[in-house]
Amino acid sequence: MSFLWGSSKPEEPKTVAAANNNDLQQRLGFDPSQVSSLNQAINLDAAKLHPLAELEKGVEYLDIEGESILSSEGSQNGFLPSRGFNDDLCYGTGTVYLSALSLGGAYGFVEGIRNIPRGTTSGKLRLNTILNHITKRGPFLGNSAGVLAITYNIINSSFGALKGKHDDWNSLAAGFLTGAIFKSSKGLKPMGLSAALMTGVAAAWCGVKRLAN
Amino acid sequence: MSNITDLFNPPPSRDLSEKEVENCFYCQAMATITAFGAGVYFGTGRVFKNEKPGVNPLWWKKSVKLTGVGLIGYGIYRFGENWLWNKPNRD
Amino acid sequence: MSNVEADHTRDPCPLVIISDFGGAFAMGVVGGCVWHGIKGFRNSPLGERRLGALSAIKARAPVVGGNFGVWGGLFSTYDCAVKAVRKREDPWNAIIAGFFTGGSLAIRGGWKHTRNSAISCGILLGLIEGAGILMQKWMAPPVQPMYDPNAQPLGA
Repeated sequence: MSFLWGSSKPEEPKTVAAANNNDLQQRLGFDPSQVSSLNQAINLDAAKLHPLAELEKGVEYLDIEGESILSSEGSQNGFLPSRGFNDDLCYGTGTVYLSALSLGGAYGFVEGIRNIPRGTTSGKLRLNTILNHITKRGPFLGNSAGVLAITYNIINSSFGALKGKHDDWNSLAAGFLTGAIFKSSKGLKPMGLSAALMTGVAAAWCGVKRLAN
Repeated sequence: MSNITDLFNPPPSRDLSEKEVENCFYCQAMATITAFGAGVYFGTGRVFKNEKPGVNPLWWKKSVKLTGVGLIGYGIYRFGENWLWNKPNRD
Repeated sequence: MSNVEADHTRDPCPLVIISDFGGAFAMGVVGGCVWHGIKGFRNSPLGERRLGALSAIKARAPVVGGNFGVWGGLFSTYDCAVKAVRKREDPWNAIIAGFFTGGSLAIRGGWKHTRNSAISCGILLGLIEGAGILMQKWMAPPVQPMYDPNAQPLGA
């Protein structure tokens, strides 16, 4: 703006400015004539912004995870979005069911191809045989695995809630109990076998979680 | 939390942002699997296995089959979208 | 998109189908246990009632769970599809999804059955949605302006 005001009165404004500067310095806490950039001028000392805001403790960010009662130590597995028992149960069951469904379906597919009657030329009949085997194996395996997943999750979460901590021992014990309950009406030997199998699966799951984290 | 619990506790109505409806890998995989599964189920006539005879008129069966074939086609389209055809132009 | 309106307690769309499926399956299994437990208990002769209940549960509860799961998964899939097509989130999504779900599950029964089932399922979901909205309004009444007894009278 200097070209507008020109330099007709070079002396007088300076003294006024000096007097003003003192005044301003007391009011603002800095000398406006010394300011070269805005970053200096705005001294972002958090404590000075507002004493009531208690900003000197640091800015508190919004807690997007929310506070779940069950989100105790070790409850996150890093794969699926989980905010506690409910999500563990829903996502765990859904994932396990769908995996088992596809696995059973694939098994049924192979079985169906092997079991096509000899000398069949009709494509429709072949397709039907394969589909019969897929629909026989897939849902059965899915249902069983889904029930196992529910039982496991309920037992595991109960252990976690009782102990206040989720660790690998919970998983192993839950796997053992799940297997035992699943075959509880078939006698001791199948019970032991399925319990051992489920403990193995739980151990494998724990290992995968360790590797992933 | 989920689409089913939203029934009992509906969220406020709003327009979804572009980010929420854009295509993603999960979405595409899920859509492909669903379309193929449902397409085979309908298209091969598995739906009408062990049906009560005389319940379903022929035109109904045919249109269900046609829907199944269409679903398989949609599944193929979704399968190749973004990497075989319909590629996003990166400029 | 501003983060303020993003609701982090909600799951993104294709993943939520898995959760819905699993939740519905679990609900179905638990419900099937109760239902078929009681049924098996009552239909067995005295002395074998516990065994009868147990075997009924083991045979039927997973199937009930599977049926529930199919319903939940299908509904959630349609809900996501409708959301993606309409690019909007409102009670109509659930009604449309329910319409398609009811229709899909009844295809075996013939054209008329499909139509009736689709319409009644849509209406049912509309009722549930309406009840949910009413419940929400009832549980959280609108904020009333507060009366301050010490307030100075305004004006001169």
